[in-house]
Amino acid sequence: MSMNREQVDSHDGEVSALLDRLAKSDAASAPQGFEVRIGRATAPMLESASTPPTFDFSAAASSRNDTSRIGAGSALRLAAAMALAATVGAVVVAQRGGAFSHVVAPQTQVAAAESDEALFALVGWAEGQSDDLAEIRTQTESLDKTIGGGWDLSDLLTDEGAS
Amino acid sequence: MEPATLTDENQDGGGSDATQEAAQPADLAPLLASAAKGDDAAWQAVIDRYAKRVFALAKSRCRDVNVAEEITQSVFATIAIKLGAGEYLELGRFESWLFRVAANRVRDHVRRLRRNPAVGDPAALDTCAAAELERSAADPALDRLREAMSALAEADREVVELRHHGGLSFKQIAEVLGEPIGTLLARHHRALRKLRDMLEEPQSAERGLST
Repeated sequence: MSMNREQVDSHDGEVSALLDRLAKSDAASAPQGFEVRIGRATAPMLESASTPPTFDFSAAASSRNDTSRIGAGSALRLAAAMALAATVGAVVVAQRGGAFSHVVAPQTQVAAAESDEALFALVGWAEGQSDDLAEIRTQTESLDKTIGGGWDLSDLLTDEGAS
Repeated sequence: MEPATLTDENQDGGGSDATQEAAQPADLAPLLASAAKGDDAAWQAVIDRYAKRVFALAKSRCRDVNVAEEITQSVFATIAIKLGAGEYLELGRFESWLFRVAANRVRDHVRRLRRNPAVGDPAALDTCAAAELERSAADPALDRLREAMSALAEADREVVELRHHGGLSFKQIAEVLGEPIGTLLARHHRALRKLRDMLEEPQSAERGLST
Protein backbone atom coordinates (compact mmCIF):
# COMPACT_ATOMS: atom_id res chain seq x y z
CA MET A 1 0.00 0.00 0.00
CA SER A 2 1.42 3.36 -0.95
CA MET A 3 1.60 6.08 1.67
CA ASN A 4 -0.40 9.25 1.14
CA ARG A 5 1.15 12.71 1.38
CA GLU A 6 0.19 13.24 5.05
CA GLN A 7 1.90 10.00 6.01
CA VAL A 8 5.03 10.91 4.06
CA ASP A 9 5.13 14.37 5.67
CA SER A 10 4.65 12.89 9.11
CA HIS A 11 7.51 10.44 8.50
CA ASP A 12 9.72 13.29 7.30
CA GLY A 13 8.69 15.19 10.42
CA GLU A 14 9.80 12.26 12.58
CA VAL A 15 13.18 12.10 10.87
CA SER A 16 13.48 15.85 11.13
CA ALA A 17 12.72 15.73 14.86
CA LEU A 18 15.28 12.95 15.27
CA LEU A 19 17.85 15.09 13.46
CA ASP A 20 17.13 17.96 15.84
CA ARG A 21 17.67 15.61 18.77
CA LEU A 22 20.96 14.53 17.27
CA ALA A 23 21.99 18.16 16.80
CA LYS A 24 21.16 18.94 20.43
CA SER A 25 23.07 15.88 21.58
CA ASP A 26 26.13 16.92 19.55
CA ALA A 27 25.95 20.48 20.86
CA ALA A 28 25.56 19.19 24.43
CA SER A 29 28.68 17.06 24.07
CA ALA A 30 30.82 20.22 23.97
CA PRO A 31 33.33 20.15 26.83
CA GLN A 32 32.64 22.28 29.85
CA GLY A 33 33.92 25.84 29.46
CA PHE A 34 35.03 25.46 25.86
CA GLU A 35 33.49 28.80 24.89
CA VAL A 36 35.72 30.53 27.43
CA ARG A 37 38.77 28.67 26.13
CA ILE A 38 37.95 29.70 22.57
CA GLY A 39 37.35 33.27 23.71
CA ARG A 40 40.73 33.42 25.45
CA ALA A 41 42.52 31.88 22.49
CA THR A 42 40.97 34.09 19.83
CA ALA A 43 40.56 37.48 21.56
CA PRO A 44 44.25 38.39 21.04
CA MET A 45 43.81 37.79 17.30
CA LEU A 46 40.94 40.24 17.25
CA GLU A 47 42.98 42.87 19.09
CA SER A 48 46.11 42.42 16.99
CA ALA A 49 44.02 42.62 13.83
CA SER A 50 42.22 45.77 15.01
CA THR A 51 45.47 47.67 15.72
CA PRO A 52 46.82 49.21 12.51
CA PRO A 53 50.04 47.54 11.43
CA THR A 54 53.22 49.60 11.23
CA PHE A 55 54.38 49.70 7.66
CA ASP A 56 57.81 50.71 6.41
CA PHE A 57 57.04 52.38 3.11
CA SER A 58 60.70 53.03 2.25
CA ALA A 59 61.59 49.37 2.70
CA ALA A 60 58.61 48.33 0.63
CA ALA A 61 59.56 50.78 -2.10
CA SER A 62 63.16 49.60 -2.24
CA SER A 63 61.97 46.01 -2.28
CA ARG A 64 59.63 46.86 -5.14
CA ASN A 65 62.40 48.54 -7.06
CA ASP A 66 64.64 45.53 -6.55
CA THR A 67 62.20 42.96 -7.75
CA SER A 68 59.59 44.33 -10.08
CA ARG A 69 61.86 45.20 -12.99
CA ILE A 70 63.49 41.80 -13.09
CA GLY A 71 60.72 39.27 -13.25
CA ALA A 72 57.78 40.52 -15.22
CA GLY A 73 58.12 40.74 -18.98
CA SER A 74 61.78 39.74 -19.02
CA ALA A 75 61.16 37.20 -21.78
CA LEU A 76 59.49 39.87 -23.85
CA ARG A 77 62.37 42.27 -23.28
CA LEU A 78 64.87 39.57 -24.22
CA ALA A 79 62.98 38.81 -27.43
CA ALA A 80 62.85 42.51 -28.30
CA ALA A 81 66.58 42.89 -27.64
CA MET A 82 67.35 39.88 -29.83
CA ALA A 83 65.17 41.21 -32.63
CA LEU A 84 66.85 44.62 -32.41
CA ALA A 85 70.31 43.06 -32.40
CA ALA A 86 69.43 40.92 -35.41
CA THR A 87 68.10 43.94 -37.27
CA VAL A 88 71.14 46.06 -36.50
CA GLY A 89 73.42 43.16 -37.42
CA ALA A 90 71.65 42.67 -40.70
CA VAL A 91 71.98 46.34 -41.51
CA VAL A 92 75.69 46.34 -40.63
CA VAL A 93 76.33 43.25 -42.73
CA ALA A 94 74.38 44.79 -45.56
CA GLN A 95 76.45 47.93 -45.36
CA ARG A 96 79.70 45.97 -45.24
CA GLY A 97 78.55 43.83 -48.10
CA GLY A 98 78.06 47.01 -50.04
CA ALA A 99 81.49 48.31 -49.05
CA PHE A 100 83.37 45.11 -49.91
CA SER A 101 81.47 44.15 -53.00
CA HIS A 102 83.87 45.99 -55.31
CA VAL A 103 81.05 47.06 -57.46
CA VAL A 104 80.18 50.52 -58.48
CA ALA A 105 77.69 52.48 -56.49
CA PRO A 106 74.52 51.80 -58.54
CA GLN A 107 74.81 48.10 -57.74
CA THR A 108 75.27 48.56 -53.98
CA GLN A 109 71.60 47.75 -53.35
CA VAL A 110 71.91 44.42 -55.12
CA ALA A 111 75.03 43.52 -53.12
CA ALA A 112 73.29 44.44 -49.88
CA ALA A 113 70.32 42.28 -50.76
CA GLU A 114 72.64 39.35 -51.50
CA SER A 115 74.27 39.89 -48.11
CA ASP A 116 70.84 39.78 -46.49
CA GLU A 117 70.09 36.48 -48.12
CA ALA A 118 73.42 35.08 -47.04
CA LEU A 119 72.75 36.17 -43.49
CA PHE A 120 69.33 34.58 -43.36
CA ALA A 121 70.58 31.43 -45.01
CA LEU A 122 73.15 31.27 -42.25
CA VAL A 123 70.69 31.58 -39.43
CA GLY A 124 67.93 29.67 -41.18
CA TRP A 125 69.08 26.44 -39.55
CA ALA A 126 67.25 27.39 -36.41
CA GLU A 127 63.98 25.53 -36.79
CA GLY A 128 60.94 26.89 -35.10
CA GLN A 129 62.28 30.41 -35.51
CA SER A 130 61.09 30.76 -39.07
CA ASP A 131 58.23 33.07 -38.17
CA ASP A 132 60.48 35.31 -36.15
CA LEU A 133 63.09 35.30 -38.88
CA ALA A 134 60.47 36.10 -41.51
CA GLU A 135 59.32 38.98 -39.35
CA ILE A 136 62.89 40.19 -38.86
CA ARG A 137 63.52 39.81 -42.55
CA THR A 138 60.49 41.89 -43.41
CA GLN A 139 61.54 44.54 -40.97
CA THR A 140 65.09 44.46 -42.25
CA GLU A 141 63.98 44.80 -45.83
CA SER A 142 61.79 47.74 -45.04
CA LEU A 143 64.59 49.29 -43.01
CA ASP A 144 66.98 48.61 -45.83
CA LYS A 145 64.62 50.34 -48.24
CA THR A 146 64.33 53.27 -45.92
CA ILE A 147 68.07 53.50 -45.52
CA GLY A 148 68.53 52.92 -49.21
CA GLY A 149 66.15 55.77 -49.91
CA GLY A 150 68.20 58.03 -47.70
CA TRP A 151 71.43 56.95 -49.31
CA ASP A 152 71.10 59.31 -52.15
CA LEU A 153 74.00 60.88 -50.37
CA SER A 154 76.24 57.95 -51.35
CA ASP A 155 75.13 58.40 -54.89
CA LEU A 156 76.21 61.96 -54.62
CA LEU A 157 79.53 60.85 -53.19
CA THR A 158 79.98 58.40 -56.03
CA ASP A 159 79.15 61.14 -58.47
CA GLU A 160 81.52 63.30 -56.62
CA GLY A 161 84.21 60.62 -56.87
CA ALA A 162 83.43 60.03 -60.49
CA SER A 163 83.79 63.63 -61.29
CA MET B 1 8.05 24.95 -8.59
CA GLU B 2 6.89 27.78 -6.38
CA PRO B 3 9.67 30.04 -5.16
CA ALA B 4 10.43 29.28 -1.54
CA THR B 5 9.69 31.95 1.01
CA LEU B 6 11.09 32.41 4.46
CA THR B 7 7.78 31.17 5.89
CA ASP B 8 8.02 28.01 3.83
CA GLU B 9 11.53 27.47 5.08
CA ASN B 10 10.51 27.78 8.68
CA GLN B 11 7.62 25.41 8.23
CA ASP B 12 9.68 22.76 6.52
CA GLY B 13 11.47 20.43 8.91
CA GLY B 14 13.25 21.86 11.94
CA GLY B 15 11.53 21.93 15.24
CA SER B 16 14.37 22.81 17.57
CA ASP B 17 15.08 26.16 19.16
CA ALA B 18 18.13 26.48 16.98
CA THR B 19 16.24 26.02 13.74
CA GLN B 20 13.72 28.69 14.71
CA GLU B 21 16.51 31.23 14.97
CA ALA B 22 16.48 32.15 11.31
CA ALA B 23 16.72 35.91 11.29
CA GLN B 24 19.78 37.69 12.62
CA PRO B 25 19.17 39.06 16.14
CA ALA B 26 18.89 42.84 16.31
CA ASP B 27 21.54 43.19 19.01
CA LEU B 28 24.16 41.37 16.97
CA ALA B 29 25.33 44.33 14.91
CA PRO B 30 26.40 46.50 17.88
CA LEU B 31 27.94 43.44 19.50
CA LEU B 32 30.03 42.78 16.39
CA ALA B 33 30.99 46.44 16.13
CA SER B 34 32.24 46.43 19.73
CA ALA B 35 34.06 43.15 19.22
CA ALA B 36 35.74 44.53 16.10
CA LYS B 37 37.09 47.39 18.22
CA GLY B 38 38.68 44.91 20.61
CA ASP B 39 35.97 44.65 23.25
CA ASP B 40 36.68 41.25 24.85
CA ALA B 41 33.29 41.02 26.55
CA ALA B 42 31.46 41.60 23.27
CA TRP B 43 33.62 39.04 21.52
CA GLN B 44 32.95 36.50 24.27
CA ALA B 45 29.22 37.18 23.90
CA VAL B 46 29.47 36.43 20.17
CA ILE B 47 31.28 33.18 20.94
CA ASP B 48 28.77 32.21 23.63
CA ARG B 49 25.99 32.74 21.14
CA TYR B 50 27.37 30.73 18.25
CA ALA B 51 30.14 28.38 19.42
CA LYS B 52 27.86 25.47 20.29
CA ARG B 53 26.19 25.51 16.90
CA VAL B 54 29.54 25.56 15.11
CA PHE B 55 30.75 22.84 17.45
CA ALA B 56 27.68 20.69 16.72
CA LEU B 57 28.25 21.06 12.99
CA ALA B 58 31.88 19.97 13.30
CA LYS B 59 31.06 17.20 15.76
CA SER B 60 28.38 15.75 13.52
CA ARG B 61 30.97 15.12 10.85
CA CYS B 62 34.02 14.34 12.95
CA ARG B 63 32.40 12.59 15.89
CA ASP B 64 35.44 13.56 17.90
CA VAL B 65 35.02 16.14 20.62
CA ASN B 66 38.62 17.35 20.51
CA VAL B 67 38.69 17.69 16.72
CA ALA B 68 35.34 19.48 16.81
CA GLU B 69 36.70 21.93 19.40
CA GLU B 70 39.82 22.53 17.31
CA ILE B 71 37.71 23.24 14.24
CA THR B 72 35.46 25.56 16.23
CA GLN B 73 38.45 27.47 17.57
CA SER B 74 39.93 27.71 14.10
CA VAL B 75 36.65 29.10 12.74
CA PHE B 76 36.48 31.78 15.44
CA ALA B 77 40.14 32.62 14.93
CA THR B 78 39.41 33.33 11.27
CA ILE B 79 36.37 35.38 12.21
CA ALA B 80 38.36 37.33 14.82
CA ILE B 81 41.14 38.19 12.39
CA LYS B 82 38.76 39.31 9.65
CA LEU B 83 36.48 41.16 12.03
CA GLY B 84 39.41 42.98 13.63
CA ALA B 85 40.83 43.88 10.25
CA GLY B 86 37.47 45.34 9.17
CA GLU B 87 36.95 42.70 6.50
CA TYR B 88 33.43 41.78 7.60
CA LEU B 89 31.38 43.71 5.10
CA GLU B 90 28.33 41.48 4.66
CA LEU B 91 26.20 43.36 7.16
CA GLY B 92 23.18 41.39 8.32
CA ARG B 93 24.67 38.13 7.14
CA PHE B 94 27.00 37.26 9.95
CA GLU B 95 25.55 33.79 10.51
CA SER B 96 25.88 32.92 6.82
CA TRP B 97 29.47 34.13 6.87
CA LEU B 98 30.29 32.29 10.08
CA PHE B 99 28.84 29.02 8.83
CA ARG B 100 30.47 29.42 5.43
CA VAL B 101 33.80 29.55 7.21
CA ALA B 102 32.77 26.60 9.38
CA ALA B 103 31.55 24.52 6.43
CA ASN B 104 34.81 25.20 4.58
CA ARG B 105 36.83 24.22 7.62
CA VAL B 106 34.91 20.97 8.06
CA ARG B 107 35.25 20.25 4.33
CA ASP B 108 39.01 20.85 4.52
CA HIS B 109 39.27 18.52 7.47
CA VAL B 110 37.34 15.75 5.72
CA ARG B 111 39.45 16.20 2.59
CA ARG B 112 42.66 16.00 4.60
CA LEU B 113 41.51 12.79 6.24
CA ARG B 114 40.48 11.29 2.94
CA ARG B 115 43.99 11.91 1.66
CA ASN B 116 45.63 10.60 4.80
CA PRO B 117 43.26 8.57 6.98
CA ALA B 118 44.66 8.39 10.48
CA VAL B 119 43.12 5.00 11.19
CA GLY B 120 42.76 1.94 9.01
CA ASP B 121 39.02 1.75 9.56
CA PRO B 122 37.28 2.44 6.24
CA ALA B 123 34.53 4.16 8.19
CA ALA B 124 37.04 6.92 8.89
CA LEU B 125 36.78 7.95 5.25
CA ASP B 126 33.11 8.71 5.69
CA THR B 127 33.07 10.05 9.19
CA CYS B 128 36.51 11.62 9.54
CA ALA B 129 36.82 9.92 12.91
CA ALA B 130 40.50 10.45 13.45
CA ALA B 131 40.56 9.46 17.08
CA GLU B 132 38.10 7.68 19.28
CA LEU B 133 34.57 7.39 17.99
CA GLU B 134 32.29 8.73 20.60
CA ARG B 135 28.99 6.92 20.59
CA SER B 136 25.87 7.93 22.36
CA ALA B 137 25.25 4.49 23.78
CA ALA B 138 22.34 5.88 25.75
CA ASP B 139 20.35 6.51 22.59
CA PRO B 140 20.57 3.78 19.93
CA ALA B 141 18.15 5.70 17.69
CA LEU B 142 20.70 8.51 17.41
CA ASP B 143 23.45 5.99 16.69
CA ARG B 144 21.43 4.57 13.84
CA LEU B 145 20.73 8.04 12.54
CA ARG B 146 24.44 8.88 12.65
CA GLU B 147 25.24 5.78 10.65
CA ALA B 148 22.52 6.59 8.15
CA MET B 149 23.86 10.13 7.75
CA SER B 150 27.31 8.84 6.92
CA ALA B 151 25.71 7.00 4.00
CA LEU B 152 24.21 10.19 2.55
CA ALA B 153 25.74 11.95 -0.44
CA GLU B 154 28.14 14.70 0.63
CA ALA B 155 26.00 17.52 -0.77
CA ASP B 156 22.80 16.19 0.86
CA ARG B 157 24.52 15.68 4.18
CA GLU B 158 25.89 19.20 4.15
CA VAL B 159 22.41 20.68 3.74
CA VAL B 160 21.01 18.49 6.53
CA GLU B 161 23.83 19.42 8.90
CA LEU B 162 23.66 23.14 8.17
CA ARG B 163 19.92 23.02 8.68
CA HIS B 164 19.73 20.96 11.87
CA HIS B 165 23.14 21.29 13.52
CA GLY B 166 23.89 24.80 12.32
CA GLY B 167 20.29 25.90 12.80
CA LEU B 168 20.30 27.94 9.61
CA SER B 169 17.29 28.85 7.52
CA PHE B 170 17.24 27.70 3.91
CA LYS B 171 17.87 31.27 2.84
CA GLN B 172 21.03 31.31 4.92
CA ILE B 173 22.07 27.87 3.63
CA ALA B 174 21.64 29.24 0.11
CA GLU B 175 24.03 32.06 1.02
CA VAL B 176 26.50 29.63 2.57
CA LEU B 177 26.53 27.20 -0.34
CA GLY B 178 25.77 29.64 -3.14
CA GLU B 179 22.91 27.55 -4.49
CA PRO B 180 19.23 28.32 -5.18
CA ILE B 181 16.82 27.76 -2.30
CA GLY B 182 14.63 25.48 -4.40
CA THR B 183 17.57 23.15 -5.02
CA LEU B 184 18.39 23.06 -1.33
CA LEU B 185 14.78 22.37 -0.32
CA ALA B 186 14.65 19.49 -2.77
CA ARG B 187 17.98 18.18 -1.57
CA HIS B 188 16.87 18.38 2.07
CA HIS B 189 13.62 16.60 1.32
CA ARG B 190 15.46 13.88 -0.60
CA ALA B 191 17.92 13.45 2.25
CA LEU B 192 15.13 13.08 4.81
CA ARG B 193 13.47 10.46 2.64
CA LYS B 194 16.72 8.53 2.30
CA LEU B 195 17.33 8.72 6.02
CA ARG B 196 13.81 7.54 6.73
CA ASP B 197 14.25 4.60 4.35
CA MET B 198 17.57 3.67 5.90
CA LEU B 199 16.19 3.92 9.40
CA GLU B 200 13.21 1.75 8.54
CA GLU B 201 15.26 -0.97 6.86
CA PRO B 202 16.76 -2.62 9.94
CA GLN B 203 13.49 -2.37 11.83
CA SER B 204 11.55 -4.12 9.11
CA ALA B 205 14.32 -6.72 8.87
CA GLU B 206 14.05 -7.31 12.61
CA ARG B 207 10.28 -7.57 12.33
CA GLY B 208 10.68 -10.06 9.51
CA LEU B 209 12.99 -12.20 11.63
CA SER B 210 10.74 -12.12 14.66
CA THR B 211 7.63 -13.28 12.77
